[in-house]
Amino acid sequence: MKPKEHRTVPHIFSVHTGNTSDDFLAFRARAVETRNRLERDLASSSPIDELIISFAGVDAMTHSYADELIGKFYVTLAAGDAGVSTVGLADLNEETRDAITVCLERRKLAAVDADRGTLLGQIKAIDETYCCALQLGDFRASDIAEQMDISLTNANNRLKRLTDAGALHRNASSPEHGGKEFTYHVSKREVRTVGR
Amino acid sequence: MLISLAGRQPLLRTEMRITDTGQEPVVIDARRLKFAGPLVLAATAALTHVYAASNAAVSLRLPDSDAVTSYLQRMNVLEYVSSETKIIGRTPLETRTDCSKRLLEVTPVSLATQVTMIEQLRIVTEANLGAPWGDRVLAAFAELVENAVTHGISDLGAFASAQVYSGRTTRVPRMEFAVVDTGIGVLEHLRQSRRPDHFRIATCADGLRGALRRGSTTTSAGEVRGHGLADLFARTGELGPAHVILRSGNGLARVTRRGTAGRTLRRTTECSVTGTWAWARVPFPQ
Repeated sequence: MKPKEHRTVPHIFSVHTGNTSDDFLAFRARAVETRNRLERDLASSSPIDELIISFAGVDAMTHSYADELIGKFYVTLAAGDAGVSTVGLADLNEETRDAITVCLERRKLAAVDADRGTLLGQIKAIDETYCCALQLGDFRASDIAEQMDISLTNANNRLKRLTDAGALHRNASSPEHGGKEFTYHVSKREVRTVGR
Repeated sequence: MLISLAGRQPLLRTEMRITDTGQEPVVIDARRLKFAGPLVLAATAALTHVYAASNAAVSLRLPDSDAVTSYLQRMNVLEYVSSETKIIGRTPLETRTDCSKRLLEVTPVSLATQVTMIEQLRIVTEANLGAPWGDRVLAAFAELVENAVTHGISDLGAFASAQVYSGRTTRVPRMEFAVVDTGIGVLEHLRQSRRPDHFRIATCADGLRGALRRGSTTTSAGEVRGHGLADLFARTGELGPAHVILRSGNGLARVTRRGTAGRTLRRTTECSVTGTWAWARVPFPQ
């Protein structure tokens, strides 16, 4: 049976403001301004199910900028304080993708490359889990464990990291036998034209 | 005190020629200066501010060579020395052409000016290195500026300069960049981080080793910092050998890297500087 597709209309935040000084992004102080702008945007637009952070127009950025903007935002996301369910990064080129990947790897975080439908920054096992999730549609941790032949504990750990990275939607339900159960799904968005 | 700037690139040498006479005034003697790169330019401006702030009478003796003096003038050194500095020597009539694609004149660096400065520097890197190397080198230089602006803050300011060399006189086409701050220096900055592993750092030279280590300024609150210098080499490694000199207090570090291979020499020098001086040289892609 074909997995159920969850299509959402994403909320798009553009890092580039149209000012040519945003063609090359440097300095933590500037990244703080952008992150503050993002947070104000999220606060004024909530509730947001899916956020796309677009880097269209940005040619390159320093690792410090990427860390201050993306690294810290994803820490907030993992803590559940970002006010958004899932996040993807879009319109990356080789340079900006590299800067973000380095930042995520240093913080041991992951993020979704919205154009390619892949994970940035994370270790291979989590990437494989995300690929499996893409194929399953709606699923539980036990489905991942069975598909990937891993323990339920391992599956839950991986799914938590993907949820913290804004890569998965997670819904809680109360089954008949009591307790709490989570179901997950990946937002299906059109994979954009690859590469800039 | 007599600070002698003589020969070619005098501030790239291990020891600066400083004669402490124990008396005022402070004289920066550039009469025998033959060639001034970005570090000499930025540091000369910074030195005048450091000594003027201690109420010393500061003099700058201009080079005997009209060409070198013209270059100092053209690179805005004379504009950005402290207002108390007495300039001794003849300043030729200045005619200035647009060299915005080959150089960055001495520029004050601060939170307010850093973005504009990087935009100006991007004109240089784009014109000479193209894509993608222009932005990769620029990113590396920007990390040095970030260090100066965030760790080297002081009322006396920081200064940066850059120059492209075609290779006609320097053998290898390359770009040099320098940023000189007048802040507390690397050693004191690391001590203020309150990280237990920094308590053992006793000398400025050890402080520079700490600064060169990846993640060295990651704070106890988990802020990921301190990768700037390592990133400089990572980004420029494929171009060819990249060279960095860091000077802070009486510590000096010379780093040469190509890819993952390279060497670092650190030492304690007889001379001492206020703040941190950073100089980088990267070759052009072959």
